[in-house]
Amino acid sequence: MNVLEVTALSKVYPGKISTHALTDIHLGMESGEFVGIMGPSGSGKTTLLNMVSTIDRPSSGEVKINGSNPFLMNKKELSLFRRRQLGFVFQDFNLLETLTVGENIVLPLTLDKRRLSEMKTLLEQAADRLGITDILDKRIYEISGGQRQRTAIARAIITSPSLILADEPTGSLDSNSSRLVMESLENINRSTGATLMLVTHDPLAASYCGRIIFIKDGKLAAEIRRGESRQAFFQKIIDTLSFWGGNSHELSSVRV
Amino acid sequence: MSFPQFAFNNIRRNARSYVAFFLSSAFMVMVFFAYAVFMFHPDVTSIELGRNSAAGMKIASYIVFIFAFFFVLYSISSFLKSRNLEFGILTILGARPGQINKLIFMENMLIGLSSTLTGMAGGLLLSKMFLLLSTKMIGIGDLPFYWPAKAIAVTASAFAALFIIISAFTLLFIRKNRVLELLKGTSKPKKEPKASLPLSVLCIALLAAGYSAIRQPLDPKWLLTAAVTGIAGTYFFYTQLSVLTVRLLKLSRRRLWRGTNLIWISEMAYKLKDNARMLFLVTVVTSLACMASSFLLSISQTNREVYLNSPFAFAYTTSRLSAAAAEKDTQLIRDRLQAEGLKYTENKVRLLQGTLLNDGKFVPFNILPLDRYNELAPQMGREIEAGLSGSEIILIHSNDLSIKDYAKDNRIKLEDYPGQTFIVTKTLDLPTPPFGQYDLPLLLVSGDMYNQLAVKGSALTKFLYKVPALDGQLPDADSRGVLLSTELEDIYRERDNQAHGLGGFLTAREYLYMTTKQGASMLSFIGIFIALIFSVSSASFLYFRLHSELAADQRMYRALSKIGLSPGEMSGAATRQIALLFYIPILVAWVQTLVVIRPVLNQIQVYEITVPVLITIGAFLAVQTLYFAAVRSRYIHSLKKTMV
Repeated sequence: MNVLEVTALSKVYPGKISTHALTDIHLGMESGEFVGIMGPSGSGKTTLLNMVSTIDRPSSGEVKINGSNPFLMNKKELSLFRRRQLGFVFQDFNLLETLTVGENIVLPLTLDKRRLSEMKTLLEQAADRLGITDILDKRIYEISGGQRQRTAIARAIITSPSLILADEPTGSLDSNSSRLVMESLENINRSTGATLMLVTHDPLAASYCGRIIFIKDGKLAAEIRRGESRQAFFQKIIDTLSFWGGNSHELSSVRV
Repeated sequence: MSFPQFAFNNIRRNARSYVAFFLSSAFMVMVFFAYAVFMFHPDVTSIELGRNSAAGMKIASYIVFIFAFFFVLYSISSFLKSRNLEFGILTILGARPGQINKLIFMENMLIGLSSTLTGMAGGLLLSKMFLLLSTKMIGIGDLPFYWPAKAIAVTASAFAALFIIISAFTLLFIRKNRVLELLKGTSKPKKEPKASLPLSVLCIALLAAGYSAIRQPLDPKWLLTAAVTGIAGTYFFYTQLSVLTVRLLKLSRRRLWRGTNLIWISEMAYKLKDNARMLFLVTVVTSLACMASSFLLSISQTNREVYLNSPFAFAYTTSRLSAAAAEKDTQLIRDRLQAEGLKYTENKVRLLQGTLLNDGKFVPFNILPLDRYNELAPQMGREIEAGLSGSEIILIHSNDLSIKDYAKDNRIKLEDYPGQTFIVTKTLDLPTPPFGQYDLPLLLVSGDMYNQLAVKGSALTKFLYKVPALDGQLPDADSRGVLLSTELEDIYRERDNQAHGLGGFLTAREYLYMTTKQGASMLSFIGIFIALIFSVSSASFLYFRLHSELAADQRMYRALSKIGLSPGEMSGAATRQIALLFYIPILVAWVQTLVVIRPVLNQIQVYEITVPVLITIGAFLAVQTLYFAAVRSRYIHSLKKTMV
C-alpha cells in the first residue's frame, strides 16, 4: 500500500479573480521513497505540500496518508494525526528559542505524554543519527543554521512518522550546511526506510532524491528517476528544468 | 499625507495596542477631575466634614497625579520600545532625527490630549453622581451641581503639562543613530534568563529584614526600613527568585517533559524575567491598595465592635474632690436625657490611680474595689467575679500590649504604693475598656485593700450612664442618640477648655463611634477611586505586555500547530501563562498585606484583621478575574486564528 495517495487533487483560491493553484494532481508514494517536488515560483508546489501536510484543504480530490483521509478528522484528531503520522522540516526551522536543542527534539513526544525513559532513548537515537549529540544542552541561538536544521530534522523523525515533509530545508543555509543537511536526510531515508517528500528550488538539494516530480502552473509536468550517479541525476534535473520553461540558471533558493 | 495625518493614522491603526493605555489615562483624568469638582465646590467649606473631605481629596489627587505621571512615562516608553523597527525603517528612508522626534511628540500629544478630553467629558457627565455619592457615603449635606470652571481649568492644565513633559522626556529613550539595532529591534535572540546567586541571597535577606522590621515597635524609622527593604526585596523576587523557581521546576524531567509543560514552563522563565519590572510595579501598587483598604476596613470593624461592647452611653470623668461640684457638672446630662425621654441609670465610681513599671515602661491604670465592680457587672453584661483577699488582684485590660504579658500568679509592684506586692489571680481581656473607649486598664482589689490604698492615693470620680434604649444596635448619623451625644460632647469640650482641663471630660459613645465611622467612610470613598486606578492601570500594563508579545506567540503557536499541537492544548498552555502573569502579583500582594498589616494594626489596638484582608483581596481578585477573562479570551482567539 502506498504511504501517500493523492487523487484528482485541485485547489482553487476564490476571490475576484479565482486562482487555480492546482489542477487534477495524481500522485502516489511508496513506503521508503524519497520524492522531490520541483517547479518554478508560483507553480503550486507549496500548495501541494500544504495539502499533503494537512494544513490546507483541497477544493476537490482526495489525499490519503497511510490509507486515512485527514480532512475527515476533527481538529483534535487532526492534531494527533500530525503529531504521530507526519514529520515536518521547515525552511526557517521553527524551533522554539526558549527550549534547548534536546527539548526541541522531544517536544512532539512530550505532547504525546510518552514515558520519560522512552523519550530519552529516542532522543539519543535521533541525535546520534544526525550527529548533534554534543549540542543537546545548547540553546537555539548558540548553534549554527545547519545545526538548527538538523535539530529540526531530529524533531521530525523522533516520532517515526509515516511521512516526513521537508519544505525548502536548505533555503536559508550556506552550501556546506546544505550538503550536510541533505546527506542527513538521505541517510535517514536509507537507514530507517523513512518516506520523505522534499519541496525545493535547489537542483543540488533535489539531486539527493530518488524521484523528482515537476509541477508547472498547477499541473504535473514531468517525472524523473535517479540512476546510480548523483552527478548525472543533477544534470538531468537541470535539463528538465530548462525544458519545462524555467531556465537552467534558476538556482535561486528563495521560495516564494 | 501630511505629517500630522501620518501621526494620526499611526495611532488610529494601532488602536488595539493603545486602547488600554488610553482608557486608563482617561480614567485617571476623570478621577482627578471628580476630586477637583468636590474640592472647589463653593459650598464645601461651610461644612466641617466637607472641609476635611476636601483636604483628603487634595492629597488623593496628588497621589493620582504622581501615579499618572509614572504610569504614562512607563507606558509611553514601552510603546516606543516596541516600535523600534518602524523608526529604523523611517531612518533608512531618510527621516531626520528631528522629524522622528516631531512624529513621536505629535503622537503622544494626540493620545494625551484626547484622553484628557475624554476623561474630563466623562467626569463632567458623572460629576453630579459623584457629588451625590460622596455626600451620601461620607454622610454630609447635599452639594448641588455647579459649573466646575476651576476644576476644568486645573485638570486640563495639569494633564496638558504632564503629557508635554513626558512626551519631551521620552524622546531621550530612543537612540536614533543606531539604525541596525533599531531594525533588528525586538527580534534579538533571547538569551536564557539566569538568576544570580548573590542577588537571590540578597533578595531573601531583604525580605527577611523587612519581615523582622515590621515586627518591631511601631516607629517611623522601622516602618521606613520595612518599606524600603520589602519593596527592594519584591523587586529582586521578580528578577531573581522567579527565574530560580522556574529553574527548580525544570529540574524534574518527569514533570517538565510532559504534555505542554515543556512549552509553557520554559516560556514562563522569559515572560517573568522580561516582565519583572512590570510585575513588580503591579505588585507594589496592589499591595499598597490592599493595605490601605484593609486598614480602613479593620478600623471600621473595630469601631463597630467597640461600640457594641461599650456598656455605657456616657461616661463623665472628673477629678473634683467636692461631690456637689461634680453633681453640678453632670446636671446637664441628666436634664438632657430626661428631656429626650430616655430612661437611664446613673452610676458613680471612685477610682484610685496607680502606675506600674513593666518592661521599662510606666503603665497608668485605675483601681476599683471588687464589690463595686460586681455591682456594675449586670449593667456591663459581665459575670460576677469571685472574692479577693489580701493582696490578690484581677487585671482587666483590652489588648493593651503594655500589660498583656501578665498572667495568673504574676506579682505586681506599684510605683505609687511602695512596699506593697500584689498577686494576679485572673486577667480579663475585654474588647474595649468597660468605662469608656479610651479608658485605662482596671485593677480590681478587695475592699480592705482599696481602703488601705485610698489613704495615700489620688482618686477621680466617674459618672457612668447606662441608657438601655441606645444600646445594642449601631446608630444612624441622624439618630436621637448620636444627635444628643454630639450636642453634649460639644458643650462639655467647651466647658473643659474654659476650665483649662481641670474640670472633667465626657466620653460620649455615640459621638466617638460616629466620628470614626464618618472619617473611615470618607477615606474609603476617596480611597476606592485610587484603588480602582491602581487596579485599572495594572491591568493596562499587563494588557500591553501581552499585546506586544502576541505576534511572537502567534508565530510560535502556528509553527507548533504544524507539528501537531491541538487548539485545546494551546489554549491550556497560553491560559496558564496569562493566569500566572495576572495572579502572581495579586498573590504576592496578598501575602505582603497579611504580613504587614497584622503587626501594624495590632499595635494601634485594631484586631479585626483577617476578614477585612479577605474582603479586600477578594475584591481585587474579582476585578482581576474580570480583566483576566477579557484579556484571555481575546488572546486565545487571536492565537487560534493563526493555528492551522
